[in-house]
Amino acid sequence: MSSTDLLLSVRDLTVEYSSGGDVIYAVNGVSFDLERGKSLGLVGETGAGKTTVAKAILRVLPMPPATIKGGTVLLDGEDILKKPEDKMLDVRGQKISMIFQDPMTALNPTMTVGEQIAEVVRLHSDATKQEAKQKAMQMLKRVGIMPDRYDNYPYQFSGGMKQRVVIAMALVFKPDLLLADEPTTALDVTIQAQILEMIRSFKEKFNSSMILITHDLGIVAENCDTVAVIYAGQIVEFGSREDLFDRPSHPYTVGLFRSLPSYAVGEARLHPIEGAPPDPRNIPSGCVFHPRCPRATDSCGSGEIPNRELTPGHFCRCLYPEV
Amino acid sequence: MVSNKAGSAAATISPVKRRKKEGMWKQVFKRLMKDRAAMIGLIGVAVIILISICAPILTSYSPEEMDLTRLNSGPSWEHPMGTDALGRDYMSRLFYGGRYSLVLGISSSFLSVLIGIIIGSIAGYFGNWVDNIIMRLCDIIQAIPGVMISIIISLALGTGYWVTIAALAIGGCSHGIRMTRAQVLSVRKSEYLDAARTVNCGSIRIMFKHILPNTMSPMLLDFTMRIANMIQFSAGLSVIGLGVQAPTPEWGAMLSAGRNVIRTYPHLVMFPGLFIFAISFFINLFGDGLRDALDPKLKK
Amino acid sequence: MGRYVLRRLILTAIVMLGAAVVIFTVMYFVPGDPAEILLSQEATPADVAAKRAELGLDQPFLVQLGQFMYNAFIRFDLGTSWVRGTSVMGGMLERLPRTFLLGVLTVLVTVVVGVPMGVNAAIHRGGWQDRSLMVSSMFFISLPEFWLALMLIIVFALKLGWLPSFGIESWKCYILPVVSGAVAGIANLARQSRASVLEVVRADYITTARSKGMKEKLVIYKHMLPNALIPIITVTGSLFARCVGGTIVMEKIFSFPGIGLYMSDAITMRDYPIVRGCVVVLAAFTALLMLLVDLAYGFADPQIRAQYAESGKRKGQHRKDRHPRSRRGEWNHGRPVDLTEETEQDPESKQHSHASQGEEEPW
Repeated sequence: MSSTDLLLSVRDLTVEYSSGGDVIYAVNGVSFDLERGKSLGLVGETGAGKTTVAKAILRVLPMPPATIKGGTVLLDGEDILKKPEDKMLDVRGQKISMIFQDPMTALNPTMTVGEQIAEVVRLHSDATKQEAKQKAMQMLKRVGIMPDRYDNYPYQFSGGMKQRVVIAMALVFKPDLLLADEPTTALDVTIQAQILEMIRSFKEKFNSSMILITHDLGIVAENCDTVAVIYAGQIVEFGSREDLFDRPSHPYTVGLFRSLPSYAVGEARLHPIEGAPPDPRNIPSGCVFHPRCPRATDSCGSGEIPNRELTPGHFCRCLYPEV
Repeated sequence: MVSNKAGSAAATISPVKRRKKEGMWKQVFKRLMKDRAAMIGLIGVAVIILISICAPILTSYSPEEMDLTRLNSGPSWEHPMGTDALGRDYMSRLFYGGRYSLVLGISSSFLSVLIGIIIGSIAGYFGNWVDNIIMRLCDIIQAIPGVMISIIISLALGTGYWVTIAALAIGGCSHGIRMTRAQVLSVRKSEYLDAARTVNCGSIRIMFKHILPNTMSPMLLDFTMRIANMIQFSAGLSVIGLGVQAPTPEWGAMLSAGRNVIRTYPHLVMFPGLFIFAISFFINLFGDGLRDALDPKLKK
Repeated sequence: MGRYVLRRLILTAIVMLGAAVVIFTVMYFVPGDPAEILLSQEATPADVAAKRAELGLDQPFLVQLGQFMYNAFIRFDLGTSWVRGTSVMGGMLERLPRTFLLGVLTVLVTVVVGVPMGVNAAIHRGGWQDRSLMVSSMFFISLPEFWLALMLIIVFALKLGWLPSFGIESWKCYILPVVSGAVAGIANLARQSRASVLEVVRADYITTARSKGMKEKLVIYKHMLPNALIPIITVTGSLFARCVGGTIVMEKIFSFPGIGLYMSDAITMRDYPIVRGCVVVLAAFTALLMLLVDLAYGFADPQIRAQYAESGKRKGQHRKDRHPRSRRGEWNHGRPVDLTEETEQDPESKQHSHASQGEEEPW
C-alpha cells in the first residue's frame, strides 16, 4: 500500500493508569495501520483496552490517572501524540471524531441538542450563531431527526436518537477518521442495525476511515475491512476480515469464534474460553494469553512473543498459531 | 454444619442469605480499617469515651468537690484546666461531663433515627392518606427551623437533661422519615417483595426482614453524624437558657455558664468548647470514612 | 409549569398555616400563667381571673387557636408582648431587617469564598489545593459556631481590641458575626462544590465536549460548571434559611439586636407571645424559601422543569420526594446543611426520567 493511502499508523502505543497506588497496564504496545476509507474492527472483551486505545489516539484520556507512556500515532505522517495541545484542538472534532458508548450520558443534560451540535460548528469555523444553527439543523435532518427538535433537551430523546445526535456532532466536519466506541452496545438490536447503516453510509460518502470498537463479532463481520483482536492491552491478531473469519490463528481468536453458539449445528453446551482475563495490574509475562491458552508451553511464559506475519497482512502474536 | 441429609436442603437455603449479609458488613469493616482518617476519628472518639468512663481514675477530684479558696482560677499544676465559679476542678467536671454529653448526643441521635425509621416505614408502607398526612407533617417540621423546634418543645417540657434529649430528637427526625420512606417505597416496587409474598411472607415480616436491612447503611451514617450535631445543638440551647443548665456538668451547660465571665476567665469557655470540638471533629472524620466505606462508588 | 407553581404556592401556604397550628399547639402547653406573670405580686385571684379573661385565656383551646390564626394571617397581628405590652409584629419588623442583613452578608461571604475553593480543589484534584481543602475543611466544619465566635471575641475584641463584640453602631460590628457564621459554611460549601464538580468531571459528556476540540477552560465553564452548580442552589438556599432561622445563639453572643436576640430575651423573660410570633414568621419564611429553591432548581435543570410541568397535570402526587431537594439531610458534619453527598438515590426520579420521554419519535 502506498504511503498516501495510509491514514493512520499506530506503533507501540502504551498507556498506564494509576489508581490508588497501583499501576494499571491498560494498553501494552499496540500497533496497527489503517488505510484511508477503510474500517478497522477492534475486537476484545470488556477491559481489554479498546476504549483506551481510541481515547489515546484522540488524546482525551483523563490525564492525571492516565499517562501515555510511549508509542507514536501517525496521522497523515504526523505524530499527533507529540502535537501541542492547542494544535490538537483543531484535530479533535475535525480530522478525528469520536462516537461514544453510552448515548444516555454522552450529552450535556442542561444544553439543548441543537446547541451541542452548533457548538462543534462554531469551534472549527467562523460561522455566526445563526449559520451554526442552520448547519446544526441540517445535521439533525441528515441523521433522521426533525430539525425543529433543535431546542429539545437530551432527556426528551430515546437512546437511539441520542446516539444519532452524537453521530451528527461527530460528522459535522466530515472527519478523516471516525472512532466509534461500541456505538450500538447500549441500544436495541433493531436500532443497532439502523445506526450502523447510518454510520456506514456516512463513511462511504465522505471516504472516512473508521475504527469500530466492539465485542460483537457479528458487527465486525458486516462492517469492517480489517480486524484487530485485542487482549489485555495487546493486539494478538490482526488481519483482513477474511483472514480473521476464515483462518483465525491466535488461540484466543479461535476460542472467541468457538464460543459463539452455532445455529447450524445443534449445540448441547456452550464453549467458553477457560479462565478469566488477567487483572490489568498484573499482566502475565511473555504471552498475555498463556495462562488460559490450551496450546501454551513453557516458552510462552517468558520473553517477547514475536508478531509473525502468517500471510501478507495477517499477523499473529503467538508461538503456536493455529493454521 | 449439616448433620443429616433430610435437613441439608433446608440448611443450604437460608445460610446463603446470612452469609451475604455478613459479607457486606465485613467488607465495610475492611474498607474502614484501610481508611486512615476514619481510624483516627474512631480512635479519637474511643479515647474521649474512655476518658469519660474512666473519669474517676483519671482525676483525683470529684466533680462536686468545691474549693472555695480557688474560685475561677486558671490552669495550674493542681488544676490542669482550672476551676469554675464554685471552685470545682474543671478538668474532672469536663471528664465526668463527657458522660452527660455523650449520652445526650447518642440517645437523642438514636431516638431521632428510630422515630424516623418507624414513622417513615409506616408512611411508606401504608401509603395513601396515611402517607399524605405524615408527609405534610414532615413538610411542616422541616419548615420550622430545627433550633426553633427544639426551643418550643423545650419551653413546653422545661429545661433539663432528658427533655432536651426528647426535644432534640423530635427536631431532627424529619430527615430520617423521608429517607426511610423513600427506601420503603423503592423496595415496595421491587420484585423481590413479590417473590417474598408468593412464599407467604406477612407484611410486618416483610418490613423487618427486607426493607429495614436496606435502610441500615444510610441510617447508620445518619446516626453517627447526628451525634456531634446534637451535642452542638444542645450547647446552643444552653446558651439561650434552655437545654441543659448548671449544675449538670454537661459540656454545653458548662460553656454557657462561663460566658458571662469570658473577659476575665476565658478558660471556662475554652475548655468545654474544645471538648465539643474534639468530639465533633473525630465523629466527622469517622463518619466521612464510614460513608465511603458503605458506598465506595461515591468515593471522590 | 404555571400550574406547578400554583400548586406549590398553595402547598406552601398550607405548610405555613400548619406550622402555625403546630407552633401554637406546642406553646399552648408551656407552663406558666401569663396573667400571673403580667400582674404584680399583690394581685388577687380575682385580678388574675379578670386578666385571663382579658387576654382571652379562658377560652377553649380551639377558640384560642382560631383567634391566633385569624389574627396572625388576616390581620398580621401576632399579639402583644406580655412584658412590654408592645406589638410583637412591630418588634419583629424593627429587628428582622437587621437579621436579614446579617444573613445575606454571611451567605454572600460563604458562597463567594466557598464555591470557588471547592471548584478549584476539584479541578486540581490531588494537588495541594485539593488536599489542603480536605484536611482543613474537616477541622473548620467541626468547630462549634458559637464557640468560634467566643474565641474570636476573646482574641479580636478583648485582647486586641480591634473589633467590637456587640451592638450594631458601625459596620465593624458585622465582621465578627459574619466571619464566625461563615467559617463552617465555607468549609461545608467548599466540600459540596468539590464533590459536585468531581461528579460532573467524570461524566461522559465532558469527554464528548473535549473530543469536539474544545479548550479545557471552555469545557469547564460551559459544560462542567453549569451542571455542577445546580446542587449548589439547594445548599445556598438552605444556608440562607439557616442563617435567618438559626441566628438565635449568635445574636445572643454578640448582643446583635436582631430577631434572634428578640426571641432569646423573650425566652429568658418568659414572654411567650414574642417567641410564638417569631417562630411562626420564621417558619413561614423558611417555607417560602424552600419554594424559591425548588423553583430555582426548575429554572436551572431542564429535566426538573419538565418533571414539574408534568406533575402540574397530575393530581394528588407528592412531588417533593422525586425532587433532588428531598435528599436534604439536616446534618452535615455537625451542622445542619441540606444537601448531603450520601444522598439516597431518589428511587422514583430514576424511573421517572425514562418515563418522561413521551415525545419519542416512532421508529
